[in-house]
Amino acid sequence: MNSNSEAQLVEAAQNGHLESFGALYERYHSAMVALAYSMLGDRDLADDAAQETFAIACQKLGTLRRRDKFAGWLASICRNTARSILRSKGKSSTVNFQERVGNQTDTDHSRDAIREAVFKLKSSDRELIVLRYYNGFSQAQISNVLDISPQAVNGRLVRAKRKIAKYLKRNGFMGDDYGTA
Amino acid sequence: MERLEDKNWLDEALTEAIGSEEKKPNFEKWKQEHPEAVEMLTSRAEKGPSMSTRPFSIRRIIMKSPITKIAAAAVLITAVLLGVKFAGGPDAANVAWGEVTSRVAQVDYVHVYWLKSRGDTLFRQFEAWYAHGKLVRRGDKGGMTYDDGQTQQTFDEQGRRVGKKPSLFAEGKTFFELFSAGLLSDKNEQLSQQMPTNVGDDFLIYEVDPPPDWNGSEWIENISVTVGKNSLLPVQMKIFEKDSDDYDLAMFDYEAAEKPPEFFEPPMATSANGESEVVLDGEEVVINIEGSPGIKQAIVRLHAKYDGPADQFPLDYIHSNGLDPNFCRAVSEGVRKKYEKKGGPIFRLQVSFVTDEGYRSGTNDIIATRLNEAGQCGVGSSAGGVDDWPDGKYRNIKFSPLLKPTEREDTYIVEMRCWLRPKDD
Repeated sequence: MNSNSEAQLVEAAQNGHLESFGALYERYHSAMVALAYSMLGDRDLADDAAQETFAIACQKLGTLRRRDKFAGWLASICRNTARSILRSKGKSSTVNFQERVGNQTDTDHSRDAIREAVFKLKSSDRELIVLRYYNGFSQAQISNVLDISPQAVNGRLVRAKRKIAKYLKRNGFMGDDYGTA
Repeated sequence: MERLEDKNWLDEALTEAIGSEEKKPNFEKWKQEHPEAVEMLTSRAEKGPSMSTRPFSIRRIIMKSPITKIAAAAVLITAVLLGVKFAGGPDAANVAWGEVTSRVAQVDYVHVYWLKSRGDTLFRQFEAWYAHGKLVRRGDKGGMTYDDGQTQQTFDEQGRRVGKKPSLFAEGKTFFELFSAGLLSDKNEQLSQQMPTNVGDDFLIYEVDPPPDWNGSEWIENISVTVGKNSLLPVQMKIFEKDSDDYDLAMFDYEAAEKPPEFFEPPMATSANGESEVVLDGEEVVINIEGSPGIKQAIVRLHAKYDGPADQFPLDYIHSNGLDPNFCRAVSEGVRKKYEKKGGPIFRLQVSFVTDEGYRSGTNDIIATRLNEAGQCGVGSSAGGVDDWPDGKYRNIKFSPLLKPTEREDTYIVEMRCWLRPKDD
C-alpha cells in the first residue's frame, strides 16, 4: 500500500472530496469488520460497528493531522465503537465467541474449541489472529492497520498461534506440539 | 480427539473457524445510510482547506490549583510540540486507557518530577529524564541511575557504583509502566479497556485499584492518573497509600528542552576495592580491601544456588538466626517473585568485614544475588548496631558485591565495592 497516495486520499477527503473517502472506505472496510469482530464475536454486530466507524471517521476526519496514520486512527475509532456496542449490550468485555456460536447452528467441536482458544487470547493478540484469518489479510496490511512493524506482526502472530496451540493441547484437543517448542 | 498431521493444520483450522466470506464493500449503500456524515464531509469542499491545516485556538483554562495549572500548561505546550489538535479531538468518554498507553509509547522524551506528601510535608523524591529508550534518574541526595535499555547502573552521591542489573526496559516496558511499577501496563487487558472515571473539560482521570496479587497491593490504596483530554498524555499520577492521607505525586513534563545524548551516558564504574575466587558451598574467602579507608578485609561465603522451577522455590530460601522469621519469609517471598520473573540461577552470599582496627562486623546473610548483577547492602557491628563497635565509634559499612562466572563449574569471582558511610550522611 502506497502511504503517499493514501495520505493524498486522506487530504483530499479532508477537503471534502467524497470519492476519496469512498476509496478509503473500500480499502479498509473489511479490516474494520474483522477488527470489530475480534471484540464482538458477532459478524452482524461487527458489520454495524464498521459502518458506524466510517460515519464517525467521516465527521472527525478534519481532526486527523497524521494523514499517514489514517489506518491506525480508523482502528482506534473502530475499537471505541465496538466497546460502545458491548456496553449497550450490557457486556463489560469481549463477547465469548463460543457463546455466540452456540446461538448459531454450528456445533462442530473443533471449531468451537478453536474459537474459544482465540477468545482466550488477550485483545491485541486476538486482533492479529482475526485480521489474519477472518479475511486473510497480509502481514503488510495488518501492519498498516495496527500501526506496528511487519516484523512485529510476524512475531506476534507466531506467539499467538503458539498460545492457541497450547490451549488446545491443554484441553485435550491436539496430540501434537504445534510450534510450542 | 483431533490429531495434528502437519504444520498447516492450525492455519487451516483457524481459517475455517473464524474465516468469513468477504463482503464487497458497498460505499453507495453506506452513503445512503449516512447522509449526515456525507453532508459534513462534503461541506468542507465549500470551506476550503481542511480544519487540520488551520491554526488551532487554545481554550481558556480555569483551574484553582497551581499544580494543575502547571500540568495544564504542560499539556498545552505538549500539544503544540506534538501537533495535537485542540478543536475536536476524541470522544473523551470513550477513550480507553489502552489508547493512552499507545500514545505514551510514541513519546520520545519526558521529564518527570516525583514528589512525596507525608503528613504536612511535600518533598522531592527524584527527577528523571527519559529519551529514546534511555533513562536517567537523579535522587534528592544526588544519587544517579542510568538505564541505557540494556543495563541499569546506580551510582551514589559520591559517584560509586552501587547497583547493576538488567535494564527494566529490556522487558519492553514503557516509561509509564516503569514509573507505575508495572501497574499501568498496556499488557493488562482489563486495564487497557478501562474508561476514565471522570471527564472534565480539559482532563480525563483514570483510577486504578491494584489487583490483590500485585506486588505493592498491601500498601497502595489506588492510583489516579490525570490525562490531557486532547493530547492523551498523562500529566500527573497520584499514588495513594492505604489507611493514610499520604501520597506520591508524579508530574510529567513534556516541554522541557531535551537533554543532550551525553547526559544519558553513565560515568565509568569505579574499580572494585577487592576481588577473589569463591567456590559454591565452599569455605569463607578473605578479600583484601584497598582504597576504602577504615576497611581492611571482606569475608565472603557463597552458597544455596537455586535454578529449579519457580513454583518450587523454597519458602525459607532466606533464613537467619538473628532475624525475625516473618521478616525472613517476607524477604524470601520477594526473592521468589523476582526469580519467577527473571529466572535464575540465584545464589546467597554471606558477607562480613574486618576494620582497620581489627574489629569484625556482623554478617549480612540475607543477600540473594544473580550473576553479573549488583545491589547495595549494609552491615554494622557484630552486636547489630552501627554505633556499638568495641571502641564506641560509629561505623556503617556499605557494600556492593558483584558475582561473576568463571569457566570452572561452581567457581565464581566476587568483586567487592565497599565504603564507610559517615553518620551525618
